[in-house]
Amino acid sequence: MPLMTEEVTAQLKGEFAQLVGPVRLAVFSQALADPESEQVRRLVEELAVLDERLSVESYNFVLDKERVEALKIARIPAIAIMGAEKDYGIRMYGLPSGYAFGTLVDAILDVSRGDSGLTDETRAALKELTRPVHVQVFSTPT
Amino acid sequence: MEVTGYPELAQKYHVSSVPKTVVGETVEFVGAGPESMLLKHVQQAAGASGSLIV
Repeated sequence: MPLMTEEVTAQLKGEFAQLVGPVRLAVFSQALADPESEQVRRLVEELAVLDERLSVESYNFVLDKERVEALKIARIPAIAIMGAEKDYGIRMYGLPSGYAFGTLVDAILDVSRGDSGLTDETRAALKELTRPVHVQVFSTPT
Repeated sequence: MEVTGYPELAQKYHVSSVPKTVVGETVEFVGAGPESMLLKHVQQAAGASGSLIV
């Protein structure tokens, strides 16, 4: 049985009509250690079939160590949202339910546009940074 | 990051209200804020631990 209702699916197809470039979704799960992470894998796989510009790569957190390290995946369930050529470093951890689901869709659209939506002033200031900065936003389902 | 599945992280970063943003392990704020505020925190984090690492 699909995780997303027909209504949600139809709405998402409308959202994804705005997609520009291709987006790669890499999802990391591990059924034995974390059965819930399998739900996230299924959800992302369902998402990816809604538009041809979306593609999904499913990995096992334990077996696919090389990918886990290459994409710096810290825990599961995890989704890496990447452009065709560029990885902007966007990772979502946990169940993308409630408000977080909208965040996932927004991240997909931003990556597809290749544009963060930040102002010119912010971009200029960020260019001055001399080292990478890790930004983590914590939320709960609402 | 949806934190209910990671109680150890909620504890590590003292997440009691959300959204909570942690920048570079050292700088944090709770709630939503303007872009300029996030930038300020990023700059602060980059400066704060940059000198320790480099």
